[in-house]
Amino acid sequence: MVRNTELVGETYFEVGSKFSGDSTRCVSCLFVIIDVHAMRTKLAWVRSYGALRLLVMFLSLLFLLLVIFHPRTGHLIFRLYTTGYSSITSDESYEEKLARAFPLYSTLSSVKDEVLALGQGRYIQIENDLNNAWKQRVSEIMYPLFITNDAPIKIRFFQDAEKFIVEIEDEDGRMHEVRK
Amino acid sequence: MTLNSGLRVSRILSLPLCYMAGELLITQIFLVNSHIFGSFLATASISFLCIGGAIIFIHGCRSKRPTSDELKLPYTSRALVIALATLLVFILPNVGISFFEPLTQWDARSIWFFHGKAFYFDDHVSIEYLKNPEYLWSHPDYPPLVPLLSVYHAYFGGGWSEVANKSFLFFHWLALLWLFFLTLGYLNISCAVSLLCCLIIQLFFSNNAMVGFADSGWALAFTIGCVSLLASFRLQGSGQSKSAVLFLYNAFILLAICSLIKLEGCVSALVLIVSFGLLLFLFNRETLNRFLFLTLLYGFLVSIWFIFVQIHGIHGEYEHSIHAVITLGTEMLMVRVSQIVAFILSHLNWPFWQWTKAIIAAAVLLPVLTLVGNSWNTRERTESLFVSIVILALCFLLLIAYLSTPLDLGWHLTTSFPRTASAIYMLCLVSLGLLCRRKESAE
Repeated sequence: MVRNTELVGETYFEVGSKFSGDSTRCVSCLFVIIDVHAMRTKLAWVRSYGALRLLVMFLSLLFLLLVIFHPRTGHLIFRLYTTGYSSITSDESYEEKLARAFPLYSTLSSVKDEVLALGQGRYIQIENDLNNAWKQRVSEIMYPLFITNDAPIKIRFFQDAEKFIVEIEDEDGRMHEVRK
Repeated sequence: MTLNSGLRVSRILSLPLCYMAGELLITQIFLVNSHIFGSFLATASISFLCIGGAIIFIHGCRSKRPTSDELKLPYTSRALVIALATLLVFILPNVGISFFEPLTQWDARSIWFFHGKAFYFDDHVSIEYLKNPEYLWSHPDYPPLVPLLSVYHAYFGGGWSEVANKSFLFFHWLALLWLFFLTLGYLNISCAVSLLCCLIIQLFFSNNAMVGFADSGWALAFTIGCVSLLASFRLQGSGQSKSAVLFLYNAFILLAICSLIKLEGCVSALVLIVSFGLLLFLFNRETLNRFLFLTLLYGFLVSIWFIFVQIHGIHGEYEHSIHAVITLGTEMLMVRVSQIVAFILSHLNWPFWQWTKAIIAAAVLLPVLTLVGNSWNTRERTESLFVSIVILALCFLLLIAYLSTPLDLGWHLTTSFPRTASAIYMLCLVSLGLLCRRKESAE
């Protein structure tokens, strides 16, 4: 399972380094204290509905304070809520979202459409020397095209000035160019 | 809604249950159609499901069948309204991620939704794709529930979308959380504690579920399966056999779902089924026949995929093997075990791994404390013991999984441990809930 930061964006390691565990430390300590106290008092106060209501309020307040005053601490919670709410209010187009997930998404989709339009089967070969992460990503985006080493249709990626160019060579050796 | 057994069940409970059953049905119909006809026959299948659903709904609404039994909801209607409103507010951001965010996480993009994409474009579960060595990295042998549900939604949405196709995760998660909340109530856990458990799960596990990781999904389905089995055990013990059977069905639907989401879910579900079978055999043999029948049905449903995988020799890039653990040798085994323990302990001071610390603390402390705390009633002690055994069994399974990994152990632990341990943590929450049961449960 190869994960490339450039391609995938945020890796587990990045998420991990951002997430401080203070919140979970607090919560787990709190739970342990509650547990120990519950054991010592034979559950007398935990069983009380009023105490439970207080417990819920206390935990809710704790989460709230963590999220407000120490966003990094409650990273998972904070990330969920900020991403979620900003996504709802965002006016990004479908293409912009895909470009955010992978910058070359629309280029590769155009290549896929072009190759499918040629009507010469599902097998293509990529002449560039791609690393595994790239190869995976290209395979995913270009499905239902299969990538093999000996397919008649050849694809080459290269960068020309600021443009990203893809050349497609079909079975008859004709060149088709996709620029983005 | 009135079931054929004559048990009246509130729609508040039957709706999420029907939704989960529907997910299972869709997966199976697509899978069987693909195997028999070489196509999903999506339009026909969806029409069939919609018409069938409508007939069941109308029948449920019009049923005049005299019913002697009614499954009462565990909470008051006021508590239910407050809980639902709170839950809806807390899960609102899930809408943003599941409906509007593109797929970015590797597992989601390169395993679950890539399989879905391939199935959608091929219009069947294509052996050509699954056996293509170019795609071994995407683990083609993994179970098909999430991919097939994404296919279903792609047909509904009119085409494949890299953004909106995971929108069903929102409804899946909502139905699971609501079922979890309700089933906890049947264990005599108060509304406040049940809601607190749901909110903790929402806050700490829903992000993973919404971005497309399958771990939180199977873990929650598994946890509800376990709670439903316990609810069934409890209801049977108090003479409500029809309600007990309903919860058995509920449990098996959820266990089938968790088995078809991920391989870990399947193994965990098997452990749970065997443990509960033993519990019934020892303490309550009345429902044992029904339980065995449902186990066979579960086995049949789940094996459709796994037999298909075995027959066609479909496999992924890496495979866990028990044989690898057996042949490790004592010395190497101890080295690996100590590596796993050292990994967990060494990260006690690393903030991200506080989850690990919390899981260990909870896994060790809660079952013991629950046992001590629930000493007032034999049945409740049995229930607590059952949860404790399941937690320990899951810990053991996790240990075996990491011992048998063909990947670099350190890397594998680092990248997957918090996700794979989700079920343990959720069961610890259940354990905490059992600890906080209402006083009136004491007999």
